[in-house]
Amino acid sequence: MERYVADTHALLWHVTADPRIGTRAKTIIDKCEAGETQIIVPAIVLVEAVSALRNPRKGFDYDAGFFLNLLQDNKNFLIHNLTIETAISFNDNLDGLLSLHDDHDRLVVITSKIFDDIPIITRAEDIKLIAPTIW
Amino acid sequence: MDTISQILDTPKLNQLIASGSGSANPTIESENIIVDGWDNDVIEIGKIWYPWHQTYSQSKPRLWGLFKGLEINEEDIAETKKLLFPDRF
Repeated sequence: MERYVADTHALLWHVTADPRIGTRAKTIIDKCEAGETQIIVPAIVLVEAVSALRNPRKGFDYDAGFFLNLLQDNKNFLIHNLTIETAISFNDNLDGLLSLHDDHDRLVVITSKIFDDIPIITRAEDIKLIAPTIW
Repeated sequence: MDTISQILDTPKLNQLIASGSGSANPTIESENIIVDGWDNDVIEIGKIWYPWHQTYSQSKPRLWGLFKGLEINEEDIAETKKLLFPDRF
């Protein structure tokens, strides 16, 4: 079964049915919901998604818990926790990831590397330059 | 018991009891309400409707469009990232 890593845009624009989501990104996440692909979701992506869904500055207080439960209930979404192995890989690869703007993106790329460089579902241009992506 | 009595085939049960061919004590097997008939045969007189069965048959909510209409922009996500990981480089 094909595997991908999800970035925050992809997940959030999927749950908001935002037309800005890439055609291939939507297809892959739809397939995952149908049990036909697997998507690795780094834990940091979930934290960021929750933070965006409950952004007090914008007056958002959406039911992020329901979102997390749905995701967790679907066995084709594999939550990848931030573990010591992730930190070791982060340390080992940091020099090659300095072109990225923040540690969030670096952790997403690290997750892809841990799973043998599987494609990342993202629209981030800087990630596209250093890792396999799909959008 | 209210749920059962509402859908129980009462006329059939009454008919069976009146004719002496059925038991006055219906029992439940799975979703079937049954009574004992002649020669140890089993007569189904109704089915139970469990309200929670309707919940099972409803399609599972999908992630797609779960928060349809909510607009999250690039800058919102960038802002969240900066809250979690301030720029260092």
